[in-house]
Amino acid sequence: MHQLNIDTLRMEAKRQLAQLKSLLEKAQQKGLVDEPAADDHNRATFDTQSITKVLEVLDGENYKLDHLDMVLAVVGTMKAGKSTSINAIVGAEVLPNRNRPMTTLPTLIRHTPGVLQPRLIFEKVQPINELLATLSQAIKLVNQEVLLELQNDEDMKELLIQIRQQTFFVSQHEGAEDIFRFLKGLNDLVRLCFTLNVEFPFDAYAIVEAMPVIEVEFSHLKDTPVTQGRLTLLDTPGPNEAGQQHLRHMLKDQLKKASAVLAVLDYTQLKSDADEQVRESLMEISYTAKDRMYALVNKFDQKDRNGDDGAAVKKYIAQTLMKNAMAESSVFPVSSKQGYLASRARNELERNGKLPNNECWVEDFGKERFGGMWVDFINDPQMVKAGADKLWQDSGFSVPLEQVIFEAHRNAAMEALRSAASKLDNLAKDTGNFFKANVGSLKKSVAELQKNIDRLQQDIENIAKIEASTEEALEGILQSTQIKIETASAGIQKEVTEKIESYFKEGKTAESDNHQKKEQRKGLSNPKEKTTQSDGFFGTALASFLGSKREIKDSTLDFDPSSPIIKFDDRAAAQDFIKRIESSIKTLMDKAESDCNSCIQSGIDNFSIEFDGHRINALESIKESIKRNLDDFDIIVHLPNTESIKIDSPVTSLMKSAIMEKTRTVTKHRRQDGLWGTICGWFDTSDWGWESYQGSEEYYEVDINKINTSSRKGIETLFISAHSILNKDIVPQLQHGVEEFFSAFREKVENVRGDLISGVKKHSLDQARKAEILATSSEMAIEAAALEKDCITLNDSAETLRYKESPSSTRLEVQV
Amino acid sequence: MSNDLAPITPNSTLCQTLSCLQEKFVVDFANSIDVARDHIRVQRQRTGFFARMYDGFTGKGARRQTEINAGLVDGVEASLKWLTELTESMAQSNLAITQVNDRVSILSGSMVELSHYSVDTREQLKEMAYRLDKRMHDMTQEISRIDFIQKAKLNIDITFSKWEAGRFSVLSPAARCYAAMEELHWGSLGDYCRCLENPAHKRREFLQLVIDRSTKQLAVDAAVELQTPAEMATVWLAAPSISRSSNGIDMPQALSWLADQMTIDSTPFIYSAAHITKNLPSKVPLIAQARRIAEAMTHEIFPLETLDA
Ligand SMILES: Nc1nc2c(ncn2[C@@H]2O[C@H](COP(=O)(O)OP(=O)(O)OP(=O)(O)O)[C@@H](O)[C@H]2O)c(=O)[nH]1
Ligand SMILES: [Mg+2]
Repeated sequence: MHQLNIDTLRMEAKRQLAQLKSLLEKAQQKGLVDEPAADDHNRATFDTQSITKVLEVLDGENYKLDHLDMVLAVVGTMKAGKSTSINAIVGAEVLPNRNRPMTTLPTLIRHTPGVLQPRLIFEKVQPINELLATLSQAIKLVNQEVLLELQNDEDMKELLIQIRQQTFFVSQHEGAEDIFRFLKGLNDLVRLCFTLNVEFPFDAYAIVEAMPVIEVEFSHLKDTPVTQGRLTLLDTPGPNEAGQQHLRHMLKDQLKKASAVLAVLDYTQLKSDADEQVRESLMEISYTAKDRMYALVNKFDQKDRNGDDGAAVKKYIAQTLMKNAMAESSVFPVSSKQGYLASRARNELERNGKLPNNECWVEDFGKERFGGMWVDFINDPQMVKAGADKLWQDSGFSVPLEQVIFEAHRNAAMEALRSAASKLDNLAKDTGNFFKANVGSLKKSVAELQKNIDRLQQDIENIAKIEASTEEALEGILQSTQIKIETASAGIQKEVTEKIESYFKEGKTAESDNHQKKEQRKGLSNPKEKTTQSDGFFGTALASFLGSKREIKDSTLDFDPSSPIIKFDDRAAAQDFIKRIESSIKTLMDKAESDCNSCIQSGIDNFSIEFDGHRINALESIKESIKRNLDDFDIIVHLPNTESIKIDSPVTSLMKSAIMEKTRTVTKHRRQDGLWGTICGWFDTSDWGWESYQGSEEYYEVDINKINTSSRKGIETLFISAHSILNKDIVPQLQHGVEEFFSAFREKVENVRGDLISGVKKHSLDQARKAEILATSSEMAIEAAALEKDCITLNDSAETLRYKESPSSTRLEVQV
Repeated sequence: MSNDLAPITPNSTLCQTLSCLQEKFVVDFANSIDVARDHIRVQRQRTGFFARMYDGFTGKGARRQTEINAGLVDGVEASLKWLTELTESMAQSNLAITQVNDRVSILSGSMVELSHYSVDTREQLKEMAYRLDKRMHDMTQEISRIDFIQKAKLNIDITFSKWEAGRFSVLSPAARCYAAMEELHWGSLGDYCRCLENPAHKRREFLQLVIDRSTKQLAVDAAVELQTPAEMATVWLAAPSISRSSNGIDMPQALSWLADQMTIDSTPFIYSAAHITKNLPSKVPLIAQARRIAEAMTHEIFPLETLDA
């Protein structure tokens, strides 16, 4: 079959851009384009001001088609080997990898042919240099103990000297060592900020332009023609890293734009506690980068005889962890370390014919490949070459590398194409309408024109009405969603209370039994205690349960059925009790969270349906009316893209991060506690009503009131989070979507009206000039109409191709 | 003698297939008569398509070869005689006759200033002008008569059945479409559509019919679905591997000659279909659906402006 190929579409896009550009320039030269109207609402489709912008857009799209910008984002869990993977792709150590978190700021690594010695450019040093001054003040206030500890840390010592001397960071760093030192310094700086409780200026780095960029030739791409585009890798801080919250939006944005996403997971940590967390972050990424996502399961060299083999790993990730949101064929067990060592050795051999003498990576390489006898082989280039090739093979890195880069190239080309095609489609339609309006206006009398202008004004006002009613609908849905959340919240609170109540009863029964045993052991006859009216929180409930009244205290170990304190004299029993409450509460919390999620999600869904309805029906009718109102103009006002409104993250992950934000202070301390840490975080407390006392008699107290309060607070946090994402995240996005759509639509109609208004002005020109303008406009209207068709075809083809499975573009040459 | 040089006779397969060739030949013949220099400008290239038709149509084939080689050319008097004959026997369309008439008026005008032409020649020209005028008048009347519609329809049917029957199959799909367009352009449909007295809606209807039938046939020929865009270079402009028959070479040459007045700028689709070009004209898309080509070609032959006027 005649399959269209992306290169042809790209050339066609370039042709259309050139055609449209020349058409618009001609219109300008022939004096068809007026000065901008004084009133913004009367502006024509093109005026001398807006046409310049349009021409710039066309040039920009053309540039992007010529210079494909491929961004390969590398994401992954902490210490999974993101930086090592990047080093493997580059074939040199451009990023430090150590056994502690190293990447603090997202960093770009850009393939720059011919640059063998990597160089780092970090324009925006001012904020961190200002930070040096702040830190030097903060250090003076810190206590001696902390300072001593800092000074014992070799890396910190260096930084402390830098701060004392106020040696500024510079913007350019040449060579791996210098780059390494700089990035390490940056890392230390962030760590120090945390220790000293000084804000690191993350916000200053929350835009891509502010990221550090390392330029270097990637050994695997050195023979790739420049026309294939420019590959940039993006190293990201681990998801738990400090500052992640600040940079979250930018990172998300970057993932959205990335040509491919490489998720690096740690084979040795696969089934650990962090499992759920990994899954969630992968899910979130796959939400934005569905078909562009690959997973490297790194450190596969650590696999022992009993470990999962490659096939099992692929299956586990794709099916179990990702619940089929990812294909098995996109999962690759690799050893980035081996990949890096092999690729660096090969690179080195190619450049210098031998490996350098005293660099530690050579030893790593030698040992990895030749074991203890490595020294015997390392100076034999042939052995080294063969060894490196074998290691590269063993690393399993070449297949994913080839595929990911290939995919990135394809996607970048596709992205550039789609962007150009959709802009062309829109602009060509505008252009067509512009000329048609020009022709039409000159053929009509001023009076007729004025009538059309007035009718269009009616349509513009109608659009405003529809917009208002859409906003009303949004408001209504927001309110009902809020009510649903409230109801869910009250329901859960009730359940929690009941749950705790029943635990309280259970605890008290145990305590009472215990107490009795003890009393008996003590030989004290204390039958049928008199009890009084309870005033404790659960007193009433308990009283009816135990069928007894409040006891009159007469000993330190008195049993008080109404007291919120439950006493245990066995640590294990107390702990077990707490554990069970925890787990019940956790179940309820999960339920609450999922309730919130579904309330919000259904709110969004309802709104989408509502919105689509509004748009399609009402706006189609406006479109119709415009068509009727514009006598013989043959102008079709096209609706802005009718894609449904979409939230930029799944609700579940929005919810997760909102909760995390609310409880950040707590989680910071409790991070090590794993799953429970998070739950405690929700309770927003570190004191969960649990204490032990050591005295003459060892006993353990569980304060049910505190547990109740904390649990309530936890649930509250959850629902506050729900309201907050609804109000701060979701509604603004929906509102924005509505606004954007309507203002784009209104502007289109206003522009057509503006075209007619400037048509009225043209009537005051002399006959000869009018005839000339009419002739040119007619001719150009025909050309524009033809181009319009081609643009639609291209746009459709680009979209079709995007969904085709087998890429037909020429394969990118990657030396692997 | 190689095919490149062989005279093309009126009853050759080529002329049977493309009946427009003789119409254009008559017009070109008229335009080649140069009274000021007393000769006829036959294209000198031995491969020139017009020259081959000239040889074939004037029946001078072999004899003329030596004359051409010797640089001799026919005189005006002989040419006018030929023109008269050819016009009577070959030119069927109003389009051809009008253009010959235009040329004859110019010739008459020039001849007044030139003294060396005999009275006979002048008379001959006058006579010719008279007859042409009469024929034009009659034709104009005929064209605006209601039953001329039948002729236009017949023109369409014959043209498309030729195409459907594979008689243009040595050409690329786009070139086949162009061939069909020329058949219509020089045929009754062309005459009908150019006649402004005829109702505009009817003319539009005809052109729409032409577009539809071309669209369908283009899609069938290229085995591309109607809605599917295909590459211009490798699909629409891809000629089948050249056949050994003379038609395989002659027909593309004939097309190229038919399109000798077409420019890249004003008729880019035809230009690229009829001439071999290294790059596509910038106004021709690299990918297109069948309809886009059919529409573009139709309107390049029958400009939209003439419909609105
Ligand atoms: N065994 C083994 N260790 C590896 C491999 N890849 C990386 N490592 C080690 O894992 C540790 C972390 O590697 P990095 O590349 O710094 O990981 P990262 O994901 O960039 O870490 P952060 O940016 O700090 O989150 C280092 O000690 C690496 O040497 C591998 O393939 N096998
Ligand atoms: Mg890192």
